[in-house]
Amino acid sequence: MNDDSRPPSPLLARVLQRVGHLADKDTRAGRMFARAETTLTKATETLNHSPSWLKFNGEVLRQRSGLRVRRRSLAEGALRALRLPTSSEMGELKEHIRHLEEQVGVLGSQLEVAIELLERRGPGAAAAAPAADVDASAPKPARPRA
Amino acid sequence: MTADAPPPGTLVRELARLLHERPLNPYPYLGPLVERAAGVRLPPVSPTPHRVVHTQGSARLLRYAPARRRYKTPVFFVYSMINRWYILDFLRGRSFIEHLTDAGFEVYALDWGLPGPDEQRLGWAEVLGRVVRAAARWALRASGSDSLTLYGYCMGGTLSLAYASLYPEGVKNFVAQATPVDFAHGGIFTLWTDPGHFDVDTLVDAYGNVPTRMLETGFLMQAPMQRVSRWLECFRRLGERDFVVTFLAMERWGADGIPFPGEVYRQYIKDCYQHNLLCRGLMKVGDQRVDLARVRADLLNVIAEHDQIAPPPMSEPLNALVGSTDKTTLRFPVGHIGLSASNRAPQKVWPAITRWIAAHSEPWGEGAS
Repeated sequence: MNDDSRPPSPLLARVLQRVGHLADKDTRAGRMFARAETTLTKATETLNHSPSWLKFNGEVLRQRSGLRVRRRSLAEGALRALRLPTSSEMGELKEHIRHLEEQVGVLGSQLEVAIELLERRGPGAAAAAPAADVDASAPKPARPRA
Repeated sequence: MTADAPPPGTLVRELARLLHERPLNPYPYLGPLVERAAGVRLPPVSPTPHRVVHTQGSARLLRYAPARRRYKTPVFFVYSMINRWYILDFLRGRSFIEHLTDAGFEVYALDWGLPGPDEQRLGWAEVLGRVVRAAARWALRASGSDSLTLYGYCMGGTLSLAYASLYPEGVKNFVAQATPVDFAHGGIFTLWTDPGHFDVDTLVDAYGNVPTRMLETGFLMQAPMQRVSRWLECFRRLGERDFVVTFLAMERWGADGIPFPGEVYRQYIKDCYQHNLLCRGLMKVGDQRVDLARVRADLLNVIAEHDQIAPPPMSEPLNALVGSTDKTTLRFPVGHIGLSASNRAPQKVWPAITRWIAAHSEPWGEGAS
């Protein structure tokens, strides 16, 4: 399944295994852990369905979000006073660039149609080309989060 | 200290960053320790060879070509916007995409990438009309086919259903895997997003894209203790190499959530979870109504019987809502992710799905490759 390997660390492995065995159901600690797990799972389930808990959580989220909006608005006010670009202005700029990108996209679609027409004229000439051609010119994909 | 050693304070800064960015998911903290202790190194994500054929914003379309093509109709995957697509191409020997390419299908997968500020303003109309539509056109074009099998998974299935209703041209078959349709039966998530206590407008206005941390909290709250006990089991089984690699790969995928694009999330929560408009045929995308009866492609509804995210009653009504004449339901005794990454999937789940897709796909003509 996996060809990549490296030397294991026996000391670290022993420590982790020791910690893991604390939850082994064959040991006393493991049985206690299992009981605690069952109890806590039941408690969480009750909490997850409790109207007052949901209302409390909703209120906390609303307050936090409101605070965040107010903080941003204050920061933008300060930036404006200092004649510096604010995040909303940067957002507008990005939106502008997006419109330009859209126009480029439209041009791309037009190019696709043109290629299609060319293909119809000369079958086989470009039949397998699109993937390879586009691949070469494709921008570097967004980096996945680690 | 060697020349390659990290500068002093790096570890502390890294720990501070982890604490700040990922306080909930244990993978970034424990993953490296387990790798070191067990002497394994995780393979790269999506091991099946693929190429990027199209990009738009953060999204990119990936093409997985078969060694020997047997079907003209390509399979086009649209995955959920919460996690990454590569659970479909999990590990070598345990990859649904690899299974499909081995069966002779050309496969395309839409990777949403990492949504940023540009994506937060995109609504369903833009996502479907521009991103998915352009990707579908590229899939058709690059495969040389005039129709495809649209394969939606989880929330990607909901998006794909709306897409197939608004843009049915070219969609020959539709596979809905663990797809939420009737949100009145959405279980705990329907309860949590009730408009009485969940204010989605304030959340999206404040954050733009919904942060991964918030989405993770929801999944964590479903079963907090199981998350801990899973890791403890891994510690006990450090000597079982395959188990450790599979476990770490799964945890890596689970920790690799992406922010949910704000406007898509707003409409998803309001129209689907809070008012169940999709199911009632009242959801609007742009100025068009999403009428599932307009979906006339042959339908395969894949249901996971132990699904907690899209419980079976959420997906079951789909067959009655679409306008397709050829409708099949396959049920499997697995969970939501079990359809794609369980031990049972390669033996029981994928062969059945692949047989259905094969029976509904055009064969690749002799000498056409």
